[in-house]
Amino acid sequence: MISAAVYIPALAGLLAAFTTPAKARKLLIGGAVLHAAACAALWLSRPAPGQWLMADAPALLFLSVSSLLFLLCAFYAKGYLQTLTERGHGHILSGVLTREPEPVFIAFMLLFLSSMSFVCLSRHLGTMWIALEATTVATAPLICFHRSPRSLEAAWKYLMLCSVGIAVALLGNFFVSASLPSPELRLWHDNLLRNAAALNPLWLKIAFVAAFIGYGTKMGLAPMHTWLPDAHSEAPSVISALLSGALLNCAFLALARISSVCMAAGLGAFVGAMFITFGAASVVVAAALMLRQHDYKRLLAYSSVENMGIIALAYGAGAPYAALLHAVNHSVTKALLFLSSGNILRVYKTKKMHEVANLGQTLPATAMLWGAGFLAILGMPPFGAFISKLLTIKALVGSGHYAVAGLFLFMLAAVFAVTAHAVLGMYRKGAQLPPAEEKPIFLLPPFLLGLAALALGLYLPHGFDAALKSAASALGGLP
Amino acid sequence: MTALADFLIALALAPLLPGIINRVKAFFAGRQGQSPFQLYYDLLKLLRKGAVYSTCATYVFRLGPVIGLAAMLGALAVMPGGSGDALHNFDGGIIFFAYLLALARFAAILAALDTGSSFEGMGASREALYSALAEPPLFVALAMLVKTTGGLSFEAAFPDAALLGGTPRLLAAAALFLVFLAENCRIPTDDPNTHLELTMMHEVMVLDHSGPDFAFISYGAALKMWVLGALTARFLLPFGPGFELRQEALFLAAMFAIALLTGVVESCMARLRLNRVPAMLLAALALSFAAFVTA
Amino acid sequence: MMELLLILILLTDVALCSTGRLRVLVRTAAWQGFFLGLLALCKGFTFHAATLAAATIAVKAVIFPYILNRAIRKSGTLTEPLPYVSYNLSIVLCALMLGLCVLAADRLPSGQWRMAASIGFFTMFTGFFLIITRRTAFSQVIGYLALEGGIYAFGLSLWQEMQVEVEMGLLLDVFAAIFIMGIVIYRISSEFEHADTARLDFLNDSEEYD
Repeated sequence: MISAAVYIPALAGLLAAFTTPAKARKLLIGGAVLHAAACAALWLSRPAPGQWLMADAPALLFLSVSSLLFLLCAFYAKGYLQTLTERGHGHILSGVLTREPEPVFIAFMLLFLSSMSFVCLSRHLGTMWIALEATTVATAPLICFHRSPRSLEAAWKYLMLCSVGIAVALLGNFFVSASLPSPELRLWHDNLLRNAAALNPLWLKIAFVAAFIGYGTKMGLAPMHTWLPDAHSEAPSVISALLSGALLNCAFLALARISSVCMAAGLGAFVGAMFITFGAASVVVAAALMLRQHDYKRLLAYSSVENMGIIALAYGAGAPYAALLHAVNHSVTKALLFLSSGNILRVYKTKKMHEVANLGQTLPATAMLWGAGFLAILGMPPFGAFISKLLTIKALVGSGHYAVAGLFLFMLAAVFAVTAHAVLGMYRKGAQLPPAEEKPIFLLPPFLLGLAALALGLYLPHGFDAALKSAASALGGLP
Repeated sequence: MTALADFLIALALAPLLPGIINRVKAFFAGRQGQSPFQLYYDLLKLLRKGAVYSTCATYVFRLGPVIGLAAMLGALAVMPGGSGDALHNFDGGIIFFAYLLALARFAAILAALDTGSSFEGMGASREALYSALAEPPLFVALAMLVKTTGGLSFEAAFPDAALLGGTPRLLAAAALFLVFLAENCRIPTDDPNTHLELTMMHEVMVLDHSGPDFAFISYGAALKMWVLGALTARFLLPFGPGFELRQEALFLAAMFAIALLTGVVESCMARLRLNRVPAMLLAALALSFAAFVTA
Repeated sequence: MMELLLILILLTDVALCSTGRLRVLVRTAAWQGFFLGLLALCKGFTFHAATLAAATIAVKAVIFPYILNRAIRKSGTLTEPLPYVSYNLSIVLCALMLGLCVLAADRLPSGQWRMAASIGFFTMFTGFFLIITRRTAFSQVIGYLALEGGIYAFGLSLWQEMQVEVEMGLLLDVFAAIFIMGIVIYRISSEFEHADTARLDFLNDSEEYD
């Protein structure tokens, strides 16, 4: 039952690899829809944990965010692949280049969804590791879809850094197994939580450090973030949206799973300090690098580093609820922004902000979405990120981290000023491009995401709030 | 008494080692090869001849071979053979041994420089480089012995080395074998059969020595091969003190095996490029360091 | 038996540090994979252990060398061009790392498997070292292999019978990772006509990029 969410996209992906492009596109949409349906069925039925998979509250929360994002991105990707076919074998930026065959691209997208679902649903720390490494393997070919030198470089850095980082997390798994009082306990996550008091704290501490470095690399926490701006800015925009919106969350979930065991074992202070330190470092580093950013996709990528830092801060300050809410807000908003950036890139054929002008006249609908997305990600009031950032500050102050809270506020202001200045520049008067055609398939997904970002700020449905709360209590280390 | 017997055995059998190596190489090359006793004949012949000295050479040149041979005899005296006893046993013998090796090298280098020949100077500089690199692995391996046993004499250290696991002893023996090859100017570092002054290392240093001086040098080199071989062998065979026929036989067999192995290495490998030799000696250092930390 | 295997693994680590010839590196890594596979049998010859050993040897000693050699042949790169740290210095650093790893492993309560833990650590650090100090993509992949092999050896030293599904999943993952890395290297070398990652420097945050 639970495994359907893993098997459906995997099967669709394997089938897609060996069909024609047209059929592969149908499989992409079909796989995404079926996955969303499987996800909804899990919400309704709440099955008991199986041997390897379990659908507890955090798993379901992250799975559904990934599933919804993927569904919207699947439609966008369909449009994207269609325009590529119409235009022939040209690369957006650098003329004629070869690219991977379309069915292969679609197959890897579906395998990516499958491995992401596996991360979310894993009940065993070992399989969770395997699934997270599988996401790296599945996404690397997506990043270098166009085989351009820049994207190959990005894919190489991504593959190398994330694989090495994740290998360290594997070491962490071994340390966890060394901390077990008796070998029969094994690495079932719920078992570990239940028997946390009996684990050897020294081993567990080493395990946590290794896991933090490993999964933190994948999550893009500074100073292990260096692959992220390259990979997220060089990938096709729809893949960037999935990487930022869905995959970073999965890495956070993996980290939070181990952290919750450590907290339950009484290492809460240490875990919190690690999260706060690296979270603050990420916010500062991202803000500093956003200052002199001229590439709008890199700007978005650094903003992802910043937001992962915020999630880490909230989690470290003992507010898993704020962390999860921010994770959801960030997913929705960042996917919106990356999808809109794809629309801009397709028309302007440049990623440099100072070469983009008259956005409002050339692409009126995208310009609206783009502006709204930035307001949302910067935490302006009607949008959801405002609430989660506010909760984060509240948690930081509440837990006595006044200096960090001050620094955080200062950095938010700096990021706001810098980003607003840079983005407003894209709306200035400048060289006229003829108004471009905006296809609904490129507007509807970001529009729906924008609505979601707005809705999260205006009204949290009771059911969603309850789900967030139970996920937060499961990840907060409380039994 | 048995120590004296060991000493005499070493003196008698040392020139056999180069002979065995040559025979093995001949076998690999498909040749008949010279008699394994060739070095004995050479030594006798050289001792019967007179020496020729260059007019610009000083007493340093004449002293070189004598000091070299004396140092080797001293080193042989502190190194226990098959019986487990050394002729001259005292606390600090291990350090004494290492410095006697260095002294012999120092004398040979000075004698080579004293001739004023540019080729010999070049050979001396290479010899100095290699021996400087070969010394750390030797010392680390000896330090491993000292660390386990606490004593500074071979006679005390070797029996206690049995306490070590097989691993560190094997590693140390492997490192010492590499040192053995380098110190005795065997193939991966130096080619004893080379015929061009430019490519020679050890051989070029002794070109000007003749007659009894050259006999001293050749015999000294054979003794050096014996003591370093014995050191390597004894890492693998940590006998107790006292005489036993079985031990004696094992020891001699090990010496024979080392000579055979050297011959095989010489037949199967080409000489390393000059700038790759340090890598080999550093690898020996890594090995003996591994032995040290696993001991 | 186990001690001998660990020593052989240690020697392959030193060898990996000491050369830049890619084919030699691949061959050494293959031997290391072979020894690692045999290491699984040292805890007792069970069906579980035998499966693991066979799978490890098949993947690490046969398939990976094949993939890497193929990529090397296609890229035409035969040696590492000027590593950041010379080979001689690499060997010295390698020896120092070994000392540190043994000290670190001594502090872990891994009992009779102390030696496996220290060699596992050492192999891991050798892998890290190769990834950091070598320039070609091939050497870095071999570094990744060593890193993974070290973690595997270390895991053997502590692990209390992991489930066979997890182990096989691990192996499959590493296999997929190396496979994809091989493909990316192939693309890099056909796109850039070299596999020198030090010259992959398009992407940075400076103003004048592109």
